[in-house]
Amino acid sequence: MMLSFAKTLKYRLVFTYPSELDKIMSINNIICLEVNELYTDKQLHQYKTTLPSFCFFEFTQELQTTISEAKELLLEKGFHELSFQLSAVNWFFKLTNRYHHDITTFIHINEKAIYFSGKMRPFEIVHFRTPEISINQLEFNQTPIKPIKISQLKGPLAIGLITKIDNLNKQYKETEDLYYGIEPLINELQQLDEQTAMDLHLHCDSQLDLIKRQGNELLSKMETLEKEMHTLSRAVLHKVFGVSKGDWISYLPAKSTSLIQLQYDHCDIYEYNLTMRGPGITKKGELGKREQVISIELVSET
Amino acid sequence: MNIQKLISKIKIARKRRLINSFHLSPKSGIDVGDEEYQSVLQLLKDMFKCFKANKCSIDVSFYGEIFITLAECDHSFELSITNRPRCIDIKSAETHLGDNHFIKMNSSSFNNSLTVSVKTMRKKSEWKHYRISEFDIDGLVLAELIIKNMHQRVRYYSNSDEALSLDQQTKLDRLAAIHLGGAILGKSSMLHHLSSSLRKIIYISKITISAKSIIIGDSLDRESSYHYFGDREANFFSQYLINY
Repeated sequence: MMLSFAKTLKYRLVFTYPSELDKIMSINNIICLEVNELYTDKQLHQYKTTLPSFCFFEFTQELQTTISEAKELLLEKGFHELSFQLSAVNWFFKLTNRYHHDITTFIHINEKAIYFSGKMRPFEIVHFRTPEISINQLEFNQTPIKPIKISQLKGPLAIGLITKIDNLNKQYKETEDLYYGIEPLINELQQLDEQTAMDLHLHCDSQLDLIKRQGNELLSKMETLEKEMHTLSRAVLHKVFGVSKGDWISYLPAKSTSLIQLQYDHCDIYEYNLTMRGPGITKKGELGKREQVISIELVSET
Repeated sequence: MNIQKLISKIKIARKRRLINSFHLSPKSGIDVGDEEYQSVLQLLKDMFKCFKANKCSIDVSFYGEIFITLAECDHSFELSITNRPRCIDIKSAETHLGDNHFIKMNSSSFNNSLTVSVKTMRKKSEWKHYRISEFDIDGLVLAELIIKNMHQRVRYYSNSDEALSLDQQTKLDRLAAIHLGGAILGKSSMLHHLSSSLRKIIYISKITISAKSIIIGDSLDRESSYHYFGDREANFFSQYLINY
């Protein structure tokens, strides 16, 4: 009994040790950041004592979870940046050669990066911050490249999202048709208005005005639909492919042999084509200067 | 002075230590977070007991600096308790940081450990650090080791120490008080405007703060400017400025 237990334990140790070790190695990371002062002219500042020299924080599993939760919330609510108070950060002062405690620290999380800011009594607003540190650089020593596989679009979540996009697309097309239907008339009337001596445009309930108003309404509806589709396409990227801004991705298009690699920076959607853009990744594994494009057709196979 | 009185003096001085944020040569003493403060005071109490038992005299200044004078010989040292990383690691961080915005480091070196530091009251003397965790948070053992080390060090001293100038107001104290006053009292106070005007002056030869006015001497000491203040500022100075 004991022997079999020992064997299982050994087996487990052998097989879990490397991954556990990796985990520990990646968890126990202390990051040292420089600190920049805010809102001051750089020539002379007498408050140099109130400015920390370095910021140290440990990149723990807990912080990693917080960041990924915040990223979810950013995507869900369409926020640009989240910031909240955090205590697990140490500010080191060269002048006193120690960590100072009387600092209120805030962590700022956006889709790509995080940074910290702080204030010391008696300042009432944050007066120094660290530079941004990319979340990918924080998590990995060498940024991994995530492959995009079209087969992932067959999952139920993907199908749901694509159906939504599909519906929006139909609505968009209908609105677009309506708009282009009345557009020539609006243009004609506008030209007529400019050329004629009659006051065509003065009455607010005149036909010209009504048509113009409808045209504007249709345009704004198209914009809203476009925005919704854009949010949904970002959701597809995040929830289906697990890709968020700043991630390195690769894609092998069908009927092609050359692999496209890029750092995802922004995406747009037109009809069923989802296009991801960003600087390309060179063969050396570094970010290049040229912009690369990955285009995927979103088709729900139901 | 008995130990309890010394400890309460340190507690009272804690709020005045805010001046350190604006001080060009910040005062030594106790600078730890709220959650550690009580346990540090307990540790200090044990250390004080040991110092007393070894017939050392203990002084606590207006700003909470702690000075211990050894019994037989007339040598004193400052004592401070703070959270510090190791000095060598800070140097390496500084060199590595260079052009980068951030660096990843080994976790073992930057643990935020409580450190008792001592420095003799002599020119160019350096701080010696003792990590509290290495002594199982036992103040008696730590204090005994500090006394032993100090006695060893004192044997090599040929001349006497700098005079222990407890509770003496310096120019830097006055300057820090003006800047802190400007920050605390806000734009409605003249200290705020004086503080920002002093920012432009590279060297100030003399600052005098009297009951109702501040006199600033310029670099050549030919002209002095007078700045009058009211009751709010006077109250502030009585709270934060030593010997006001």
